[in-house]
Amino acid sequence: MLKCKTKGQALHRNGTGQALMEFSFCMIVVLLMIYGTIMVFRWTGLDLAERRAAHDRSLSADDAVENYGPCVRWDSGGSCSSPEDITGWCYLHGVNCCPCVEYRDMEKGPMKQLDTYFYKPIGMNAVWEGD
Amino acid sequence: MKKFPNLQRMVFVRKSQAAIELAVFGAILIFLISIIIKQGIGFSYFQNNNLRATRLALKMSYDYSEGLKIGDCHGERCGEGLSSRNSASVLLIEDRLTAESAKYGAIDRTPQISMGSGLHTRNLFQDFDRNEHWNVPVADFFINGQHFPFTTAKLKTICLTRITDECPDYNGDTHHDARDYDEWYGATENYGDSNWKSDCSQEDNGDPHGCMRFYRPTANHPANLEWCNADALPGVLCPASCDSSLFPGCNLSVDKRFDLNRNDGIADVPLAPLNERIDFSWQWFMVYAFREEYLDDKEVKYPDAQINGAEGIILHDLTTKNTSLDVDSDLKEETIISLYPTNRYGGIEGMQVIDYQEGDLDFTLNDSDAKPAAGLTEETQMYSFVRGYQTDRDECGEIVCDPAVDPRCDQRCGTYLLIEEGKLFDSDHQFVRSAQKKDQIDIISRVIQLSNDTDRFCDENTVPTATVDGFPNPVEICCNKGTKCFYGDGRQVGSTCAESDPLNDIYNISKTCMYEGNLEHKDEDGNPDPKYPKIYVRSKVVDLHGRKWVTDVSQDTKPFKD
Repeated sequence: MLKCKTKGQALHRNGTGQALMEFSFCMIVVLLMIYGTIMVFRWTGLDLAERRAAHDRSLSADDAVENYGPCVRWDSGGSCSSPEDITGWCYLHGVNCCPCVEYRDMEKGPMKQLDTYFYKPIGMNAVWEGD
Repeated sequence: MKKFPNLQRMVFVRKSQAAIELAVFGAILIFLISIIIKQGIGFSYFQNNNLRATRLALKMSYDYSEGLKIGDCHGERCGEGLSSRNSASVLLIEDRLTAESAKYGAIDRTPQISMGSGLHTRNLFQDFDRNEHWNVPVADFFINGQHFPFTTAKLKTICLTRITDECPDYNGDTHHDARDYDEWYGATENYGDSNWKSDCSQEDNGDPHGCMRFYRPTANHPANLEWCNADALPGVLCPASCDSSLFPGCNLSVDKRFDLNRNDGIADVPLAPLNERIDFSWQWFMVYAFREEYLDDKEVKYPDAQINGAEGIILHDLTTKNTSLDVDSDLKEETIISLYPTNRYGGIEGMQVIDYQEGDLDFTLNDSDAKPAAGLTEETQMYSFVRGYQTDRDECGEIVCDPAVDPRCDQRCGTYLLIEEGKLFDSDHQFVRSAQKKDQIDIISRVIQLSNDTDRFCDENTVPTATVDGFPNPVEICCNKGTKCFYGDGRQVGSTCAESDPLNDIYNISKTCMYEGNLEHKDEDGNPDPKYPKIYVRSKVVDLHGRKWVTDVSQDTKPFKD
């Protein structure tokens, strides 16, 4: 137990108290480091598993719009004269047709399932959830 | 025994033991954490690349089959989608920075290489019609954002008449864009003579008519009547030489059937001392370029057609047969797409085939091929460039580079490896504690070995084409047999893909470059040493990473003490 020094006493170290303080300090640091290790270890597995789950989830998503695809907007610029026809009529007849620039619900169809940026890595949060 | 009190105190000192232990074992713990993080990020990159490659392959298959991407298709069926990626194959390469701590942040790069394949098509059974070269199968390579669409086959038109003057007049064909034949095989040498069979068909009066003879492998199976062993069962008994036999299953002598490389007519599979032919898996089978389906239609089209001995070809019929044949004597089968006009006696004068050995990449190599393996090679180099501040005057004060004269002088200035410490308040009252920034370019050079120069990336004049398969051509420079290189605008730049001469404005070493190869090349002893085309892929990855520690004091009413 630490003893208070009276005025005028020579300052000397109390070895037991110092060791206790150092130990307490070190234990706190060690606990923080162990916590960080556990969080990092947890992150390595969780990130891999979540990415795989997101991959499977998006590929098998059943909310994809099935009625997608027909052109709904054509590029009216340039010298094109009529909407592009998927049957190739424009090419065969030498007509400069307006290219399609927007398909109906295309991004909600299979494109939604096949998005290559389907996953955002989860945070590591080794110490706390920072920004 | 003499005691050493000082040493004893030093060894058994109890003070600060916990701090020392923390310092030692804490460092080990931090090292372990860093290893886990580094490995975890590595696995994360790897998994992400694998999944992206798979999804990219599925997306390519979907995009092309739906007609969302049409490549360089200009035909009437483009909008219905293409078959080029029915079974899409994607190679995805990204050189990602590793997780490490360095003065200017991470500098090491780890290549993430993934192969993905996927099938998401509505055109799985779409017909591959004549001249539809946009339906040729393609393998897509994505290397640090550069897209290389490589064909794995070629659609080629061949003439099969005895002399070239008799080749069919394709210009009279109104189907799609008419064009001339690619190759003439009418006199292709084989077994020391040509592949021309002078009496494959005949008129009623016995006059013979010639046609080409092709070959395909046939399998060793008891139920296969095409198999000929000559003197051993299972199989059909036929003479050692049956060239003149009219029996369909015996259209070729046994020796020629087992002449695996078809070069001399001598069997490569021995009959003695052990008869290996009994268990050998395959042999050659001969087929005439003869439209066999019209034999039953003599009254209408080919009243004089009769076939002598071998089988013919039947295409687009319920009894389709012999549609995969070795038509170019490369010992590998080609697939027949369409047949051109047939003469009065059933002989086929021309056909269009898919040749899987003549695309950009030939994935059908085996031990008998002399070609190098196609695809990504192991040859990889990485260069890092950090451009420092550059003065426009030399040590004597003379102007060596005037931006007013040469605009490139400006471009050379301004990049850095920057360290700032203790910068004071700026206009936002933020205290910059330290800043470490870099502005460098990593050039990663890879080599893709090609099997053929198909003129898709570099045209016949050794100039880069503007687009490949509808995409911007990633090849910036084309070099021919090692003598001349050209930019896309036709300007000549050096002679090799590895050349660098800043004084003459030649930077081939840093640009994606195609070497067209030299198949006539000979080594020092005069022996054939063909050089096949290559693409040197130079990925230029800019790295602007850095750190900047800032203390925001803008909200403090009294940011520092008096």
